[in-house]
Amino acid sequence: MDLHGLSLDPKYGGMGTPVSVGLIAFEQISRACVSTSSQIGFFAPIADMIERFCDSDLQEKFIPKIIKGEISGSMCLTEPNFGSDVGSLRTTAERQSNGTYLLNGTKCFITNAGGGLAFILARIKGAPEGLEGVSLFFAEEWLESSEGKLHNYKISKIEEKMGMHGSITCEVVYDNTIARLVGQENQGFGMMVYLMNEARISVGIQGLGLIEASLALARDYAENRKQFGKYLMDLPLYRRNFQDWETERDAFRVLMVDTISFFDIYQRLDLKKRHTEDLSEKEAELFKKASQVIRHRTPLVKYYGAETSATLSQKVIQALGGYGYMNEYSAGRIHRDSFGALLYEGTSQIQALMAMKDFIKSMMKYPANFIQTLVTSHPIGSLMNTSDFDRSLSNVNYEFRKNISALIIRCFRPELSKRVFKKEYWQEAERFDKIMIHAETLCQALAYSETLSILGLHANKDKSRGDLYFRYLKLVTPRFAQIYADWKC
Amino acid sequence: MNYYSDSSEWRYLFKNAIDWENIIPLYKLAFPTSDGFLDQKELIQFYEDLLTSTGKWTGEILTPRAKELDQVGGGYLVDGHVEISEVLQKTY
Ligand SMILES: Cc1cc2nc3c(=O)[nH]c(=O)nc-3n(C[C@H](O)[C@H](O)[C@H](O)COP(=O)(O)OP(=O)(O)OC[C@H]3O[C@@H](n4cnc5c(N)ncnc54)[C@H](O)[C@@H]3O)c2cc1C
Repeated sequence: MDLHGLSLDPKYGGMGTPVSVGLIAFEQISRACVSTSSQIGFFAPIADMIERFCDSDLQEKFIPKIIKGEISGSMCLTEPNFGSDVGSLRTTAERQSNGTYLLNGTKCFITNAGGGLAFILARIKGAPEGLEGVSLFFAEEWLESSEGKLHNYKISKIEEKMGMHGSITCEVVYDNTIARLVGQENQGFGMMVYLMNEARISVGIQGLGLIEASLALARDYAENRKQFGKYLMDLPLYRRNFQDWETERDAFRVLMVDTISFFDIYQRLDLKKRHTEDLSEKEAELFKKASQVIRHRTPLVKYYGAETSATLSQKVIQALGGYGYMNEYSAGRIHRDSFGALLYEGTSQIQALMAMKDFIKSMMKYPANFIQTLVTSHPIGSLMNTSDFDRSLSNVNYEFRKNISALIIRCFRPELSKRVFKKEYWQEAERFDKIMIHAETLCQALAYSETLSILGLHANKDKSRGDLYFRYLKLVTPRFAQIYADWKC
Repeated sequence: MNYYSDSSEWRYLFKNAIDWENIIPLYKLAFPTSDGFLDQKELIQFYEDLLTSTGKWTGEILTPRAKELDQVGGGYLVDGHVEISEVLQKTY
């Protein structure tokens, strides 16, 4: 299978299919084996990073080799003492007279660090503390010399993990590693965020693959095993649980595919913009919309996919009874493998905080608008809506806005004055601590409402999709109630 | 087992939930294309055929490999570098 080049440019030997096609194939690989998908995930995306941010000599040298499967790469952020807190990293970079840099430090938990190429975050000596002082570097694992191949950095350890054994997680030591600066000094985090965003969407896709794998296994089992004279799937309680799981899988798949579609537009136009800075008016409009959607969705799909795959793969162990606990079946392996996604590319809590930050930021930009839309989104206004889906969505949105507004007002304790409509009021930092404890429930609520909105759009276009909309609404209604209760305490 | 063609949901979403109208022009400026596709419909059919073959490969070849990969691991450390295990190498 020529997988690596599926969505890469034909000028390097790729097939040039849209990214959507590549990402759906990635979902299939994740369903088959999430470890393999983690390894494969460091071929094409690394080529994409090289194409987007590196010079043409590196593009010509490495992208064809990546497509042939001869070399791959890694993204190196995490250090033994700093994971979520990337801005505190300690790996150093020192400029040499020939323009290259010498890197020193240690990174840990790096997937596929032995692939041959590496994008590394480090701080140039004298650069500011925090994310503003972080630069991105590109290094090769091997250097050619008259004595043959020499290590440019060494892999000091392969981690023994509880799952994802097929994916190679390494500790790497940089000891005067020769590296090239990518982009400008101190601008590294922005570029790494690009790769991380793609990776976060890919983790959502991995989650979907894991969910599909678990539920297919359980369905097969339940349709063949009899207890009390009936197939498990025909026992009412068993069937009801199963329907809920499949509803969540089908709804999450819809959210994921819609996100892939926007990501395709965003990624393609971002590349064009970086290389030519020349977007037509229509393209600029498409790019703006796709960028907004991707920014909003990235933490949601990462959070939702990772959390749901961990939960449902556990349910599936139970659904197979004692056999689910035995290695003869793959339920246990799939569940062990599901934990990785909760951690890499930013843990669930970090995703939730990002989603909250983005939400509050957009609200802060125009607080008056937010408060006004609460009034205008009252369901009384939706009586004129023609479709059941629109009316139901309008109720869901109104309840969400009403409850989040109550939470915000409680946390931010606005005085009954016009100050509440002022931007500065909402920007006072200490007010945020109080709301942060609700970041995960906010992230869940945002993920459910985003999913419902897309299901509603689909159902408006094709009535046969209404069934999934209402099944999902039934599934998440009690969850919304629980979330709103959390926001009251 | 084919992870694409055996799933009516995937087939539905591929056709109806991806914004092909806006995506295709970002990849192909005009039809017929230099690689011989006459129109958008033919091109989308080709992408579907591709996913049908990756769906078959992942369902029939890669899935059975997962257990062995879990047992053997993806690679081992030799002198400061990683050697990829045979079973993972097959997928590369
Ligand atoms: C299988 C695997 C593969 C990986 N691959 C890579 C890779 O390729 N490249 C790479 O750079 N890294 C990689 N990582 C590392 C991964 O990105 C980090 O483990 C992750 O970012 C968390 O960092 P940490 O382990 O230091 O945990 P910590 O940051 O110490 O977090 C510990 C706990 O505290 C929580 N926490 C942290 N900050 C907050 C906060 N502000 N509010 C609330 N809770 C918080 C976290 O959610 C977590 O539950 C990988 C990890 C794993 C498990």
